[in-house]
Amino acid sequence: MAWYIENGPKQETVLSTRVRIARNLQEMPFPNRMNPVQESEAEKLIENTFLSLDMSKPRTNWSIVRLEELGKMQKLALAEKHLLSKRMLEPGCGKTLIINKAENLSMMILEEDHIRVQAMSAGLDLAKAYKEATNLTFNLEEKIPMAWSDDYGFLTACPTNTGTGLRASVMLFLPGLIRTDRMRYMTDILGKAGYAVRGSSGEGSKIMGYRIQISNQLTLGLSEEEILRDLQHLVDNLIEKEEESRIKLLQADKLGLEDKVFRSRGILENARRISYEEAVNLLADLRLGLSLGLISEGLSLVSLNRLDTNIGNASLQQICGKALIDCELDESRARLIREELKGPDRRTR
Amino acid sequence: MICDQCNVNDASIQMRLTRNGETIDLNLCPTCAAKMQTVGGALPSLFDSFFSPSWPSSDHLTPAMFGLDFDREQGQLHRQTKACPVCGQRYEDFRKTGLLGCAACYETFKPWLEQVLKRVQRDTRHIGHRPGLAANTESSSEDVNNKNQKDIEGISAKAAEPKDKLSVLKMELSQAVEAEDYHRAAQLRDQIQGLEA
Repeated sequence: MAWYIENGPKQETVLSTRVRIARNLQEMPFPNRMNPVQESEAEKLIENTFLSLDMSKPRTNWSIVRLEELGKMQKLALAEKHLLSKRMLEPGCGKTLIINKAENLSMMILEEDHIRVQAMSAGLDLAKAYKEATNLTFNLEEKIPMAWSDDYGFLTACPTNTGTGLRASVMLFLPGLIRTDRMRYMTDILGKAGYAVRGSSGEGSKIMGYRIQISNQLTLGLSEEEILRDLQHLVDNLIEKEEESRIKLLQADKLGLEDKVFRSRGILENARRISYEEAVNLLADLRLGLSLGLISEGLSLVSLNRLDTNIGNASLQQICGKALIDCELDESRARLIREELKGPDRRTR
Repeated sequence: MICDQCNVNDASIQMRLTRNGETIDLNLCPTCAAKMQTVGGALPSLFDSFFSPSWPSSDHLTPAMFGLDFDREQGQLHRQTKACPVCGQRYEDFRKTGLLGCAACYETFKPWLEQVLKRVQRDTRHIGHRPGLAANTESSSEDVNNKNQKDIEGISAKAAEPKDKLSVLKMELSQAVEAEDYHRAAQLRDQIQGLEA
């Protein structure tokens, strides 16, 4: 089972954890200053070094994806799974993507930096994601000299990543804080404390399905452990506040909340066409209902996780195996949701 | 010391430029110093393109004409046209894209980069993992799992502490400068100076 369908620690509030580490080759200009010869040399060096590592065996556990061979839809599907950055959707940015079978560990080659290792984990598990990402990074560091300065640590193309090159982020599900209007205040505090707060699809994206992504902005002047510990501390606090807020919501109007959750279920189980945004928002109501015990029969978190992953435009087209126009997308999405909500999970849970 | 103008030859001459009460000290090689002196006097054809036809006197001689920029706030001389000797990236390129061109850029643009790092990072010195030394993932797992029960309002209180307030103000200052809101930037700079004092 792919990592994003599994349940993880604190899954009711934290959907996923991601750790990204940036590194650059010592002897090469950063990707924005490379010529095609250097690009191909660097790409080969990184890929061959990876293939020489014990962890790359058996080779069948890994996919090596050449971005230039992918169509737009395939790239978008990878971006929907957070395996490709938005930058890499632009033509000419990024060369190769190496992904393990479970899709929780990956490496982008020649994105903004030469190497960006990324580890993801279900729920809140910073330690696990960090361990997986450093394992690959450390193995590479042993074989390739990385751009390094005694003063500034690991050097990256953008000074906002330099030092540790570490960006840790958590995707939070915060219906309580958002519906009780406390998130605005939290966002302000988080920004001042050095964290980026974003919608679920990254920078500039709007908040849908009560999802908020929080990541560290400071990478220099703090150790990796401090960065992770501070974020963990922050998320623990947010979870506590979120739980309080959900109880407040329940106490304020339990019937109203139940009404909303069951109406959302009704639409999801019966709609013939549904847009992505509507689906994400209604599925979020089910997730909230499930966490508060308002709804349980025939519904599981695994089902919701699977739907969250599959209902994006590109993923949907991949599942259907063909390009779809807008109304066909909405039809296919509605069908997929109906089938999942009435599927085997309904009987097993 | 390298010549501030050509960045190639050794500087052996110190020259002081004064304009509107601002003084800038330049370290120059004999060739560049000679050029400067000629500009101040007879206006050679080499620099014609820089100057208006009515160029009256050396009073109008500005650092910008030599690819230099005097930052009043920092009291520093910016060499905007300086290019990284390894990759050719110019500081201007960095200002446009936010990206440096290679590892050597960190040395090339050090004085300016330090200012940027002070604004966007916690500190300008790395204290984390070093290459070739395995990260201690076991202890970090424990650290991370060691739950701290402090309330989130603690973060708010922390943000109000002078050191954090300073970094917040610096961050706001850089945003104001980016947005070219110089009135706000001036207010923030005064607040920062007040706190630093």
